[in-house]
Amino acid sequence: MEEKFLVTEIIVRVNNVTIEFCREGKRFKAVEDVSFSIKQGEILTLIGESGSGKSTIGKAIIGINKPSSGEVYYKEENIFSPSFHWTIEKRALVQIILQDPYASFNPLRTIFQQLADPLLHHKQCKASDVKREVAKLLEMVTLTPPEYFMEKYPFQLSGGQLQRVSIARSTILKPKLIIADEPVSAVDASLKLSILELMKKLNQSSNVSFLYITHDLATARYFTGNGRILVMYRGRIVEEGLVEKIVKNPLHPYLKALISAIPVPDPKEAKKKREINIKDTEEKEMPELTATSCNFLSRCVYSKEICTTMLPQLVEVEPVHRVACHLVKKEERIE
Amino acid sequence: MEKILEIKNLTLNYYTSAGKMKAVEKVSIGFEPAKITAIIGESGSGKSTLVKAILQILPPNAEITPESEILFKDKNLLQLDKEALRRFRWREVSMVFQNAQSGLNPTLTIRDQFVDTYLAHYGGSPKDAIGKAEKLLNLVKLPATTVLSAYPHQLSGGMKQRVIIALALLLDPEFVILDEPTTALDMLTQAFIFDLLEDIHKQMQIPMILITHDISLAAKIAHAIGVMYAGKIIEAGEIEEVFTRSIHPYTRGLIKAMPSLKGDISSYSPIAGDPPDLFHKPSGCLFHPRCKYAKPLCRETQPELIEISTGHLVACHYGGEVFGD
Amino acid sequence: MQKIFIIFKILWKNPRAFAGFLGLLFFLLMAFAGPLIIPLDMTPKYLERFLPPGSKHILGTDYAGRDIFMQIVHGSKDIIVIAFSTAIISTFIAVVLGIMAGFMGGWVDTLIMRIVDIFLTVPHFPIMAIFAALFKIKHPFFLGVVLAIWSWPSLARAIRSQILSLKEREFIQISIILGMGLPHIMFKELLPNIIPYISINFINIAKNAITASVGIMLLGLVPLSVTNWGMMLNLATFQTGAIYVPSALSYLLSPLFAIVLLQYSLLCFAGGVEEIFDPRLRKI
Repeated sequence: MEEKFLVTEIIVRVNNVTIEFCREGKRFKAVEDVSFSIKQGEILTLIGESGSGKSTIGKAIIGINKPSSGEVYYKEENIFSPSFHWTIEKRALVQIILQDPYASFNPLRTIFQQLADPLLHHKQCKASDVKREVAKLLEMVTLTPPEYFMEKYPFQLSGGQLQRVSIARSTILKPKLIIADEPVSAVDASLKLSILELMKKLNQSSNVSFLYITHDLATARYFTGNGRILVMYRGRIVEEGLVEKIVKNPLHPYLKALISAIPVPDPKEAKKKREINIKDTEEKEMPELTATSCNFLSRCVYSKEICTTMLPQLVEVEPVHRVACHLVKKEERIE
Repeated sequence: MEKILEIKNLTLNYYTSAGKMKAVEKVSIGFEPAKITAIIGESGSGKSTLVKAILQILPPNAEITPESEILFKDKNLLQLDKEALRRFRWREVSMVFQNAQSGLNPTLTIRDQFVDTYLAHYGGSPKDAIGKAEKLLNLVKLPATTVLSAYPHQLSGGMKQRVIIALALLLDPEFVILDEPTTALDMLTQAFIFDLLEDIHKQMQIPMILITHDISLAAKIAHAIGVMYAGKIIEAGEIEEVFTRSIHPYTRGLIKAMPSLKGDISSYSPIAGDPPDLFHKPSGCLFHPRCKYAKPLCRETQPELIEISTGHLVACHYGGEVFGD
Repeated sequence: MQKIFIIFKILWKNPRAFAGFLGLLFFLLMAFAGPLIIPLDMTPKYLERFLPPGSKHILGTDYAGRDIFMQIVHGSKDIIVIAFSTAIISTFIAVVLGIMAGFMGGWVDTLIMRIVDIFLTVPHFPIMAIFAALFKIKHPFFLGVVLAIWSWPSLARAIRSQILSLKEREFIQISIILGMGLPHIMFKELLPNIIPYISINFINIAKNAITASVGIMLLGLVPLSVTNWGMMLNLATFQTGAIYVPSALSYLLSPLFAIVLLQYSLLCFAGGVEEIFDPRLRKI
């Protein structure tokens, strides 16, 4: 009798990564001390607004942004160490889908060419078979009949259709992890779920992991299913946990405010008065972050003295649920 | 009820090198005073074209057919001359556009922009303009003195949008059109701006037309709603009625396609198919290729927009019957 | 095969490009078939100098009584060879080096840019004068090579700037992430996106080569060719007093008009070239 062992290996590990940029002469930290790992078959979501650092960390994982400190590991190899070489095997581990489908494709080449190129370059099939392989890819993302779409140029497809080609393309190297950075933000409301469903199917059929980066908590809940969600604010992770738990029981003031701010597609519910408990501070320049105070301080309505003197760390409150906030009641903490 | 703005049989075509695009087809809708009416649509729906038609800011390759009428206070806007149009724009109607396409001149301070607009339409002194600007900036919860002396690039996205709202109210317009006012802004800022719009509407009772692709935003502040698809209005009515007793399969599909934080995940589903090709529109009902309930009649004849119950209009041959409610 | 069909369709639907194409065809015919039809007769007939255009001489005669039209026809071959060989060679070098410098960066970029700097700062004519003392160039193609040496550096630098900004575009980043390899990205992804830029510069280089060839001739590096249009223009303006003689207007304007017409044909055709490479511009 065979015993099947389910060993879920870690594909990517982000270890205390800080990424600094220089803008208008000032150094600022887009990502600060972020750590997480992604296992095979897992769906992990990063939630945050613009400026939260979610896209920056996504680009670091794909090798574009180099961390100022900390490491990114592909199966225990640091991808930013000078001895790391981007061989095809390494590239094949992690692929990416970007927000703007029209920018993700070469405007001057046909869909066929842009799908055939990597297939042929990596000798995934013979030249005589490539047309059939491309057709299979297009059918996988429900772009049928494939012959119709193959000869089109990117500008001739709708955003939703082109994004589906993006998904198809991201599977060519058979990656273990696909980073999807705001994949449906530029897609029509009625079609968002079809794109997400495609990705979900991929996850279920090929066990490929997804890192879903978005600002939209509702689609995050839909897509993440049983997976984890990491909430980012101004470069730091402020809360993390299973998506259902976190949505039902948000602990960090930022997450609470975010949830109350999400519009509900029901006129009766939506018109009820609700409080968004956050300081409506609208400044172009957010106050500079210090190492000794909470990064949410300037907008927090609950802040106490300790919040000005100590940067809160992520602490486990219940299994898999961690919060970085001094004021989460002690009873909920597991020391 | 006397409508403040009424669109009758508006048909608009764009002539491009790829052929004739029917952007808006025989659209008739009325907007009631003191209400917020939302126009919902996705890409290709024609909602932005509708706005441009009202404001007469269409590109040269656009053609409006002669039987179209846009009536405002008994005047047909499509027949106004340039001078009358100029007065109409901003004094009678003002616009709040998406942040990125803002009406803010990057080389002028906010103060200058208020003063310029005020003087161009009212005359009078800069002092009057600034006085009113300060009041409006307070209304949109911005610190007047700091903002007035700033340039647009020194303000955050949310602040700029509030300035634009204040500017839109400067000349006491009869109504305000908002075209995707918060698309480029994050969730929290969006929530604040919509709360603000609600307050402004309560205080000033000024009718608003909200153009958006996000039905949740419509649900939040609108009293009436019109749903557009492929250039036609396919359902319209009072907001709760349209949401809870929606009849057109597209409206229903749209509501079902919006996941929220509550509710069973499996209850959401996308609408099958792709947005319509406006150069080669489907025969009969424009939605039939994507409609689960399509029957032979839907392929042949285009349904008319008819009043199915008081104030609730739908363009569907089988409206309501197919759902078995 | 299908691509050639598309090219003809584009030209057919784009009147300007088609006109440009016809113009180029005209000059090519003139250059290669013309001299076979019209014999070259450069014997001076001073009694017939500066005759205005008429039935015997379509464009009139020059300062030595020789037919201008004949000279234009015979000069066209050299002109076309010089202009096109300069443009092709310098564009080719500039494109390869510019794309490599822009995309690969690092030491490749530094090396190429140093070479470019050297070429840009060293004055051309003293080097040419030294060249003239050592070599004699007989065939116009080699004149094209010499002229190309001085044309490629600034174009290479300009192409490098274009590539520097293109390289940040998402589809290029994705090509890298797909492991597509440098040659593919440089020449299949980046190059087509700078075609419009290249074609305008190509035409410019061709135009400048004509005037530059005159300078070379005056230096003595190349045997003086009186039928070279640029030389004709030079003679007409500065050396034979044609600008003072009203009936000699044709001698002044004919070569000028020929150069302009060639340029304009190239320009119109370039519009069609853009459409061939960028499907978004096509009207078919």
